[in-house]
Amino acid sequence: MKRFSTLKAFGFLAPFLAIFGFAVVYPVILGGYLSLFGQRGARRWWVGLGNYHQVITDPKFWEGFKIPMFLLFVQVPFMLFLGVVFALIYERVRTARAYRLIFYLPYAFPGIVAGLLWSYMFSKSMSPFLPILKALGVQNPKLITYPALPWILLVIAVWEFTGYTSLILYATLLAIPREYAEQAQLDGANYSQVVWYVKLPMLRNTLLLLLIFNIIGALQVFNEPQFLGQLITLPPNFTPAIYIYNQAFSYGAFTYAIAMGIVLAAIIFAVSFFFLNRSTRELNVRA
Amino acid sequence: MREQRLVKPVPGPRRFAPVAFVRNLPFHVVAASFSLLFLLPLYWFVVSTTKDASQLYQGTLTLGNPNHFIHDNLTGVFAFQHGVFGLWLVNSFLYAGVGALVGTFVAALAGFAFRRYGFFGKRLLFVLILGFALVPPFATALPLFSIFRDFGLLDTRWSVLIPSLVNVFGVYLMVVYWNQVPDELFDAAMIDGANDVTIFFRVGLPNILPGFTTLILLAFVTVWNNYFLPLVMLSSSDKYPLIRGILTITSLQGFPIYNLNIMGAFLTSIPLLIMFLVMQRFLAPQLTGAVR
Repeated sequence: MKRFSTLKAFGFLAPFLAIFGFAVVYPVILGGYLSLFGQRGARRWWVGLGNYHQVITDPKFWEGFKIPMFLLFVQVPFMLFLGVVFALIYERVRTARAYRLIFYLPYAFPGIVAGLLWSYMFSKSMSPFLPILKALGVQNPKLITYPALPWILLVIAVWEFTGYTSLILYATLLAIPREYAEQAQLDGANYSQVVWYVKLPMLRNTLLLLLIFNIIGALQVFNEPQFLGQLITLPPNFTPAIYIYNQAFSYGAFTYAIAMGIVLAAIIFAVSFFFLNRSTRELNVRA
Repeated sequence: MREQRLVKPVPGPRRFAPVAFVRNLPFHVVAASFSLLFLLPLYWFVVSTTKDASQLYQGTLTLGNPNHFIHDNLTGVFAFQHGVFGLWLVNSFLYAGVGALVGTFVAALAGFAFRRYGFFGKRLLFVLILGFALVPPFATALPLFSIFRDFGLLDTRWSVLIPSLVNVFGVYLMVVYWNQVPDELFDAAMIDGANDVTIFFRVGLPNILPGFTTLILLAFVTVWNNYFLPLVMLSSSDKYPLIRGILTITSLQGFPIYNLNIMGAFLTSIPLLIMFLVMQRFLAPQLTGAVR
């Protein structure tokens, strides 16, 4: 029995709405308003949509998307593949509990620390890999170079999130009725055929959801490169989020940075809705 | 209702046979080699906490000899800039502890309102809350910066604490948890003469306690790991949380002190590892059987 009482409901909602209004809703609205002004230091003047025009035509802003794009097209597919493999192993192998724990463990560390670990392990001064490379005869080996930066981020991201990814996929695998695989086996399918024709199709929606999470994550990369910046000078527009921060606090273009934040948020919204919409449409077709 | 099984079940993880191990050998090989790869950085992390700078430079995978874990590294981190690390530690626990406790409680109240009452604008409000929650933090942090500046709260602990109380994901999960509590329970309490606040505290909360605890732990980890917010809001070192502070462990010339960075990151991670182990117990929230 639900009771209709707007007054009581808002009594319970009041604390949340107060904090949410102050720390989320108001900033979003204020951000939209401030983005219509130009600013240098303390001086502020009306520019209308000028900031947005500038964002769209700012080559350095779009250059920053190289890293998210690399992660999206190289790291994410690789990680999802690895995640599926791990999930199948969890499902198949008796001692998988230990594997689950080991692969998930990196996820317990913050992105900043993951960044520190791999940055230092690849650094010229501390790397445990360099003595090995030297022994193999590589002259003056160097692991942290500009061309290598995307690959280092790939290693960090794969290390950090594969365990989490595989657990989500494993949960989906467990939800598949056993009868499906049994029936397929009865019809003479071997393990790889069961995986390909029965299990992978059932993972589709979960994979799509994970893809959306990863797109959102890749577009916002900020923490992982922080310690990398100790060892190599990163460009101020290394990722969109880093560029936004630098515009706001290093260059003093505060309102311009806000406009960039809004554009980036809009991109994230658009991509998420595109994929979400597609997945729900497919669900409707099947139902 | 389960159907009668006509077919022998697929050889699954439950049954043991030596044959299965041999057949699964490729799986073990793949999983074991990846395990080594995944554990390598953590092993390097632990080993490196025992080394001073010159030992780190050797790039070996053995423990530091002599062992510098306590002297040099632990003492060095706490002695850095007259013990500012201790303040970071306290700040981290303050932000994450208060943020998680208050934020989760507030989320529980909000979730209860959505569960228990019909009210004007209910659907719209829920959609609005979830919609605003999708706005990425870096888009809200900059305007928030200017709001706090206008209020004179910039570079105070409030400027990190207040945004840390928002837990939209918590509200969403709370609605899910509350929905597991049967209506009869609330109705019975109401017939017995309990008012709404009493129902929330005496009937409601005990029934969602596992979920409530899980959410506190998750929120604690989220706030503990939040780097961007303190980076934007705080400029004085004594108000930093650990996650912000460890990036500022440098010599006077601005060069990172590697062994102290590593020890700082290690100490930042330990509470999270404890949380991780504790959470294993709570990750399966179940409703205790109050209604049969």
